[in-house]
Amino acid sequence: MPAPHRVRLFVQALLAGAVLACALASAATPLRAQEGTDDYIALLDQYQGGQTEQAVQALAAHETGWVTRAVDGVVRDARGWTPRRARAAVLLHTDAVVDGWVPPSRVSTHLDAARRIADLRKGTVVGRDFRRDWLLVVTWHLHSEADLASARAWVDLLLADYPTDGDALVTAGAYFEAAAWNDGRPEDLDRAVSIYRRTPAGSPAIDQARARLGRTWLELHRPADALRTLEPVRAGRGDPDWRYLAWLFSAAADASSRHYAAAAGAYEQAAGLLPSCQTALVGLAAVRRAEGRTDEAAALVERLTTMDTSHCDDPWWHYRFGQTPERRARLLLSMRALVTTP
Amino acid sequence: MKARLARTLCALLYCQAASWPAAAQQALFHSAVSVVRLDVLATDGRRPLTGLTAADFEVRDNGELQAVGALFAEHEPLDILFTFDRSASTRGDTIGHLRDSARAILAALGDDDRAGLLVFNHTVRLTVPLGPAAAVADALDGIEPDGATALFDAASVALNLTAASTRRTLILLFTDGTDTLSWLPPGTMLDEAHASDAVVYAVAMRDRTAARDVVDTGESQMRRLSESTGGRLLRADDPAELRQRFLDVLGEMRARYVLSYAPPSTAPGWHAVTVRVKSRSARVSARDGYIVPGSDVQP
Repeated sequence: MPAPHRVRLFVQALLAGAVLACALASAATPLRAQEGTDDYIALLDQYQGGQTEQAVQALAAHETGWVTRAVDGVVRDARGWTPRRARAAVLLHTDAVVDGWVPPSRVSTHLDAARRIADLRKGTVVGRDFRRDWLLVVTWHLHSEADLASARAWVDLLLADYPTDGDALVTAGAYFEAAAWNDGRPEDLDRAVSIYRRTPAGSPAIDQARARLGRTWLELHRPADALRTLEPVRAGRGDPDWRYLAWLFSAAADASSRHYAAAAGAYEQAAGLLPSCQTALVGLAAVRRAEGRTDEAAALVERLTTMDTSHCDDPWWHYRFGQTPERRARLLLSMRALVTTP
Repeated sequence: MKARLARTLCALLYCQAASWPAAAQQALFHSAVSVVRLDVLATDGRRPLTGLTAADFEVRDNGELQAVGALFAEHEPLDILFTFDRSASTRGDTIGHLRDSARAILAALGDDDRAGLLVFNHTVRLTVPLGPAAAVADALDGIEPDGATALFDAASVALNLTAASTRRTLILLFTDGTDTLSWLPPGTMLDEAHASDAVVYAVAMRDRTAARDVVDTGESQMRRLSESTGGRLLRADDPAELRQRFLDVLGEMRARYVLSYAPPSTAPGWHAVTVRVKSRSARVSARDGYIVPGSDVQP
């Protein structure tokens, strides 16, 4: 046999081997993936059928590798998925994280899985509004857990994809405010200021944006700007929680400028809005003490330390941790209703 | 003329201060300051120095040498306001040892001493006002750990609660974590400490779950608070160490001196104070100054 022919045969044999190996591999992978995918689809059916908690718990019991393989499988074969199906899959993974069913080590696996599904066909399957709400829920959750390092990527997504959305902007601004709180970096406060200022005046989030901007000005030692920014929130008829916080922040701004009478008045307004909460009275006592009105300060602290606070859910307690758990729960509930209602 | 008037006032007040039974004095930081009282610990670096007299101390107020009265406070009646962190992290061993440690102090108090109990998480509650020690002993078992930590607010409230007292006052502040929810910034808490006669001793148990820099910042704030009142920060690495730390605090409070003088000026603002022992080498713990409260600034 001439040498060139032997070489050709050898190359053909090599190619045939490679093709056979590829064929065997491709036959085996779908088989394994198919097993996981079928179970995964069953969980989705269970979730959509209204047994959300059972489905989430069953998902959370699976190892990381199983989750990844199953999602690989469905993402490859998701062409026929309806928006309702895709949204259910996103929520299945999100619930597992937000409701605390998975340990911290598996949080990123489930959030990545949810994101792959939410990003199917550039997000058009789940829809733009659903995707925004889902990004908000994830960011609020990570912020409330004080996991700011993980939250950053989601904040960036919100800012990139929803740059004029009021809720996205206050969520991102609150993140940078909290980052500055933890690390003391003034550049984070500057970033928060620029984000809050972009909130459209007609947005439902405008009171929150103004209240948070007011506090951020205060952190930047600009009490006059704080007071100017907070004024429409104080005077408005919006969410009483933000009005209460606006009065608190105004009081702090006045106190920082030693405008004690104005500070005391603002604290009294805040105390009037939430009379079973202590925060405004703690601030008012500090103002009285700074004025040298020691007896009044002592009377105030006696009052606040013996009052019934069992009905107080002070917005200040939640402020540092982004949005309230109730708001997150409400949003999740409305999203679940979209996928579990036939 | 003005200076002569001030000196006359000063001399009059000093006569009063020199023969001063500490407990009978008016509280100092009301709307005007008439007498400055300093609760001072002098040590040789390890042990408290006893037997010192007024002549052994040198006190300067804004740099100006003061004529002081001095009293060894071993037998002076003492008020102790236990200010205890009851946040969720104190569950288990910590709360149990905290109760036992408080009881150890209560058992060592005299008939003329008083105690009160202020507990805090994200709220602050005066469980027992200053009064007979037995009431605090009864209330300790009722402390239920729960919630977050508003440490600066609690310290501020404790300082305000004791501001009107005419007796020697110890605020024994315990925490096992760092502040997470206070409304007041640490600067306000320090201002209030500077306007108070109370001595703050902070006992901090390390929060092993928190990041190192967070723990360091929290301890630094507690150290500044306690040292600004002439007290100090004591650390406990384990709940079992709390009892000894608490007894150390009481021991130091019994070994302190109360110095008093009429201030050279009652102008609002910061008055820096330095105290040293002239007669021998000594380490002195006393507050580093006081604030005379100021008036409103009109916008």
